[in-house]
Amino acid sequence: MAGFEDGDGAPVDDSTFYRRLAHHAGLQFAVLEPDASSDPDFTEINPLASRLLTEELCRHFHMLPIAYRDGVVAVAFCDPFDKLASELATALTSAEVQPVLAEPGDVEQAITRIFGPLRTPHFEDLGPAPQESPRVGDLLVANGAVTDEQVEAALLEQERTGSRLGEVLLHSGAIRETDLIDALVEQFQLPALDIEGGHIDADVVKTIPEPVARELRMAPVATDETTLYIAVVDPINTATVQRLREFTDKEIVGFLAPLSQVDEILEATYREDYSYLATDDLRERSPENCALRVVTTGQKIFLVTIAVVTIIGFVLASTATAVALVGLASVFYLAASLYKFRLIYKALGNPYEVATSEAEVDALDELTLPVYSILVPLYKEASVLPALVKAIEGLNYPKTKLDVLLLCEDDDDETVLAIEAMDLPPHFRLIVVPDSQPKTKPKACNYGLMLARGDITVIFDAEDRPDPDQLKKVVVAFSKCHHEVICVQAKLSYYNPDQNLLTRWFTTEYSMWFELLLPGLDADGAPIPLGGTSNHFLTERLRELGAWDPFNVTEDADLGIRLHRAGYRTAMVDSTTLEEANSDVKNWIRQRSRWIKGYIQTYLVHMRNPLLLMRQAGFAGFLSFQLLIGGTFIFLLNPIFWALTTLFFFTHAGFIQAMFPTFIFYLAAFMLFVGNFVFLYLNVAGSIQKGLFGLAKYALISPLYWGLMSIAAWKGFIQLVTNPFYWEKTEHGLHQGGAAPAAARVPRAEGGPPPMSPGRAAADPQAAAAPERELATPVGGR
Amino acid sequence: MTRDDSTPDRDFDPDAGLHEESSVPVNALALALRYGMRYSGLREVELDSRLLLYVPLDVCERETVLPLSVSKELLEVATASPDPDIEIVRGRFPELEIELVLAPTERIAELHDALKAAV
Amino acid sequence: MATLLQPSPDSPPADETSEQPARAGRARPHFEHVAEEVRLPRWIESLALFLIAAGIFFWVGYKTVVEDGVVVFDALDRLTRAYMVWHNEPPKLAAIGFVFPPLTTMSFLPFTAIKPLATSLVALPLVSALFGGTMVVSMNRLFARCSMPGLRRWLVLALFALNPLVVFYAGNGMSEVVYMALLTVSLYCFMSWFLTAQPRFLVGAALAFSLLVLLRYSFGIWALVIAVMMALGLSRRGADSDESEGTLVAFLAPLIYAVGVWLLFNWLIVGDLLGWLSNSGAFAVNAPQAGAAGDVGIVDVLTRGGQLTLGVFALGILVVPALVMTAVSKRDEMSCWLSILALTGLVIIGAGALIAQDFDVLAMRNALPVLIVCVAGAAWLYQILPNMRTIIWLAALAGLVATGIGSWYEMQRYPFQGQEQAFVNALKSGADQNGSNSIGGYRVGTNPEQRMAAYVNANVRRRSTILTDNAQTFGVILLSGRPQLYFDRVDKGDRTFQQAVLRPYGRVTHMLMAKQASGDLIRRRYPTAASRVVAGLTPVFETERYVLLTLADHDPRRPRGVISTSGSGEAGGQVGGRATPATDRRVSP
Repeated sequence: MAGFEDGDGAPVDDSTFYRRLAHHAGLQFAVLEPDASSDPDFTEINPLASRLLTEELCRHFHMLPIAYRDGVVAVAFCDPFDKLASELATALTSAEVQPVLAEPGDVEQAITRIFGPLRTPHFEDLGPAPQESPRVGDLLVANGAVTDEQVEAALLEQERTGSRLGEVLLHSGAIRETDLIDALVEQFQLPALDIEGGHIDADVVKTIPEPVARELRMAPVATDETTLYIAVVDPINTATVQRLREFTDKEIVGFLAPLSQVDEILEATYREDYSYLATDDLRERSPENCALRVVTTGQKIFLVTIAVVTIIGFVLASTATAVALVGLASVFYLAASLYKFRLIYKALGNPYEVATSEAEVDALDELTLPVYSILVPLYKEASVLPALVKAIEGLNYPKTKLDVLLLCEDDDDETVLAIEAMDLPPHFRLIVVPDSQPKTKPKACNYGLMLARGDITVIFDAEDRPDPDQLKKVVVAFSKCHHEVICVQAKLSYYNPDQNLLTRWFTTEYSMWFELLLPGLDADGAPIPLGGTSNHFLTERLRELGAWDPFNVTEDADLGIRLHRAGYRTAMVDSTTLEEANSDVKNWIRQRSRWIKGYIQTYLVHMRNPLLLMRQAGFAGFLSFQLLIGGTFIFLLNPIFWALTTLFFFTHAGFIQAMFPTFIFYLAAFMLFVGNFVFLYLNVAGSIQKGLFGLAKYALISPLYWGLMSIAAWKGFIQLVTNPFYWEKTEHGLHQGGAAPAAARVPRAEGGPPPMSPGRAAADPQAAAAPERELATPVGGR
Repeated sequence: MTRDDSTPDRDFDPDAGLHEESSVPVNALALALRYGMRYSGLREVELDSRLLLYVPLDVCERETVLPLSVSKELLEVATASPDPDIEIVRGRFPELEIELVLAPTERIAELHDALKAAV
Repeated sequence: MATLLQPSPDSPPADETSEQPARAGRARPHFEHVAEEVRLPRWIESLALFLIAAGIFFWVGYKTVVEDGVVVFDALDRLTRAYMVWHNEPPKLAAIGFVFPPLTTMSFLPFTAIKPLATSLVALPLVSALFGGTMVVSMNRLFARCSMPGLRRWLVLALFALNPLVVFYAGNGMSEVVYMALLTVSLYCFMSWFLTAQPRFLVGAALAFSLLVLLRYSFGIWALVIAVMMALGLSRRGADSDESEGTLVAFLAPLIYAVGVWLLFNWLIVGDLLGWLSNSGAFAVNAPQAGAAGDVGIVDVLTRGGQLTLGVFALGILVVPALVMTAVSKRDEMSCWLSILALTGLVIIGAGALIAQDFDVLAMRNALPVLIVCVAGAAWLYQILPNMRTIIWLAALAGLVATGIGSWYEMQRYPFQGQEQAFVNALKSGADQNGSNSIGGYRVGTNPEQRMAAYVNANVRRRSTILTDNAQTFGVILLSGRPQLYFDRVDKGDRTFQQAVLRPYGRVTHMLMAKQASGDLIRRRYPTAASRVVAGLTPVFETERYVLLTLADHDPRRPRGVISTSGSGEAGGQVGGRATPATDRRVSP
């Protein structure tokens, strides 16, 4: 049963419908479109009459006065029986209203013709600027900057994505920014800004607050008694002037400038502020969430008390104390293992990721796609740049809606120069993070986040190869998720599993972690320690949260917990980013020790107030945190138990037997023979689940890998505990940038980049870890 | 190994929908039969919010009616009762013939909600 | 698992160049017609079935085992060992024993932690009933997986579960029901894996099989057969070597690990890597006259095989040929697997009996795995031949009825059994079977153990004072509830025990031995002690199966001073140090 039938059952268009409605209601029907002047019902709008009502009223009630004769106003309505509308029209025109019926689309267009286009800014797009006509294309062709074919192709894309023609051409690399400026100058008859290298007074720039300037894509550059001169990307319209009135009452004169130049001005002005915020924002807003202080006084007292009680216990009743410790450890062990097993087994059978089908990805309207910021922290990685650019250019996302921030360090001239030499299209932005302590990946990301324009922000590592559809899948996922979900984590895997045994193990571990364990956590609604890359955030929420903790070496895991505590959630999406697995044992141990250290940091930070944690994360979330993040300590226990077991088998030493009374012994034996195997076997299952059949046999010898993990765990732990200088130094304000970095001791795991300048290598142990710009990722396996 | 395979039918409830299918329409159908009127279960209705210009939403809700279609001479209106008060519609469109079709109250209310959501 | 599946015609070709690894979870099912939505039972149905089945099994088991005394001594031995794991002095995991597969004992462990559950023997029917319930629930799932709707599958299930042989083993504490449950689970997993290509089912099947091997070593052969068929199947479908290898690794790893750990334990604790392979061949304590070893010929195997077929899995007469036909005509792999598994089960019994020259291998219970395969096979036929479902269903019902009747009769006359006859008698008459005879030379019941246990409890107080071979006298140990009184093979290992048997004087005050079981290590050393002819050993209490002896302070055949190792003469007990053969202080039973 169609809603409206025309005899033959076909639904009719608006024109027929409203004509018929007019007929039924006994009203006159009017066609307002000038192109349809041949239509018998065409009524020409009297421009004077049309101004009898305000634009707001017309738009709101879908009506428009079209004629005025002898005290009677003919008003075109879309709803002839809208009493309020006709009463208002009568009252405001002080005339008798004669209702005329017109189609809504017709009325809407007529309003636009008369009052101009709707000027409310839209979220979805930085906007097809209505005042910009395809003439830009003609001008560009005329200037010889592009060919007709390129304009044709760009027009097609413009239609699809709603982006401006000039920008489409710019992002596709067809034209340079100066070409566009030239064309725009010609089109709008506006002056262009030409201040390359010129000095700009920061106080002038600060006339307009930074967020407003960013939003409006403009930067004040000079002022005199009467006028404020502003570099603008888009011609200034009345709405813009209206907004600027809040900050200045001077006359405003705009000069066209490329976006990159506006960005440069803003960044140069606010650099120090950004840098300060990137380092200290979280610490100042919520010091309780910052790892700058490793152990709080309360925690110190607690730990010392525990230590004292244990020592007293050993003195008074050594066996009983040992039994108690072994018992506690065993119970914790069992609980953590059972929990992980449960998560993994559940996930083996159920796809817990947010489902995103190809059809849904294809169905996305590129017009409404949000702007996407991609943060790529780089450090001494000039060599991977071509692959990185290729991977990002390969993403299935409109280039005009990409905002790629290549985050380099101030002292990394090599990478900076390499990027500059590549002459990348304008959706790539080179951001040089000012030199300050701590020089960590999270600080760089925080810095980048402040400059990010996207509604969604994702981090990729330099050598990442994300699934081309990943961004779109995430957009689909966000649209499907509850509004609590502010982060979508994609899966990570490696593209070099077959390099050697270590990379094979690493890959099986990742398969289990990202294919099974994290989805299991997701399904449980438990806090998810995020993986180091490919986590997609709603930019605003991330900023509100204080973004990453620059003092935590697994800032991603920490952020995952923090956002959970703030009442937000993370979802998993079935899209994989391939990374490079660490193939060198020494480097691997360094990397892993850092991760484990970071997990312990995270544990300590969030356990500063366990009751609060429990209240915020819920009891189940709290338990999950204890078993998963706290489960890191298992790596420390493992070698102890293995040693005891081995020792006992060979010596049957009595003291060992005494430490394992019946029940604890059975528990320990169960864990040793059944638990270990189950986890080993789950690695096999994870590989097969992921379709990596060839790795199954290597997963079988993963206990050796666990051995490596324990070595790394102790390394990380010792770094954290026994080197007192390490942490005391941090308490004395390392963030102030007084201490110099010393990256030499810990180069990037993959590359073995050259050490930083030796003169700056200082004895600051915190700094030793600081420049490790590596992706902190999960401590997986057992 | 035996506990986790129920996923595909986890949410399946064979009884869901049974009641509204079988019990509610009976009343409307009975009315239709009693008064010799047309009956429709309104299963496949394409909602057209434009039709609210003929029967305003407040009338729809007050009288539990719903405009279904309009052609040159005929406005088809679903109704829950055989004799709804739609004088206002007749007053506005004196020339238009109005045909009433009996339909389940719940279904009409559902369609109201859908219409409101669409508007 | 991609190659498990014939790609459906409309599926896009895999992108060879893609660097993104294929997702196994996205796999499509193997058969087109399986695309029909399979509705697996809801948890409430499973729970209800579990409770009903376990309830019935427990009730029958309790009645026959605890009340009517139809106790199978193998089960009693495992139960005792599980009891000793907790309550021996010191508690020792080694009490599980290293000759027979360990899992049965382990399955008792959670229940023997509570003493009365074990000493009242309630644990026997209880554990069996729980596994019986699991078996029924899994079978129900398997039927559902094979598209059999509710009412139909419940009828088949009822006929299967109420088979008297199944009921007997689902209530008597033997390992049979444990492996029947696990075999059902693994077959369910295999079929599900086959139909859905989800790796977790392969994982489930593999884990189930690793446990099966620890229940019956012969399931290792089954696993190998399956592995070979898997490899063939994968290569037939053109899987690459990685996929075949990964799949086989996933399937075999748990199994190999389980066997590996078992070997390790044997090596570390018993000192003999392969000790568990040699059968001790001891006679059952409660069947002294039985001698199953003998001249087993082909003819015996064939006749007994026929009898077993009729008595245990008559259904197979219909199912196996049908499976073979389907395997050939439809080129259906699973049908082929199932028929080969059923035949493997039969061959293992026949060949086992021939090789071991042991009629015991032909026991009825050994054919139970074949029954499970046959029932699963019927379900598979139901699934694979959608046009003949009603016929298959009716045939399965008929086959199961025939199987039930066959079992009922064979249980009363088949020569190689473990008190099946007594069970049927108990069911028929409802009378206490204690003291009656059952085919195979069994004297039914635990009265001799109960009386000896009562005597020990009343007269022995001190720990580790009764030297006994717990492999024979487990019944007494369990029923007395105080394993700490006994100095047995578990306490300090076999070697120490053997030394004590050689020089018991001064070490212990009593010895308890089985009178007729030739496997009793003490009886082997002192074969004539029970007849009061050994100096220093005095029988003080005797029942039908056991005799309790007191020992002199020191070896009467050696001068006192010489025995320095036996420590001070802490002889105690009720009997004086003098021991002459003539002293008859025995209390008649």
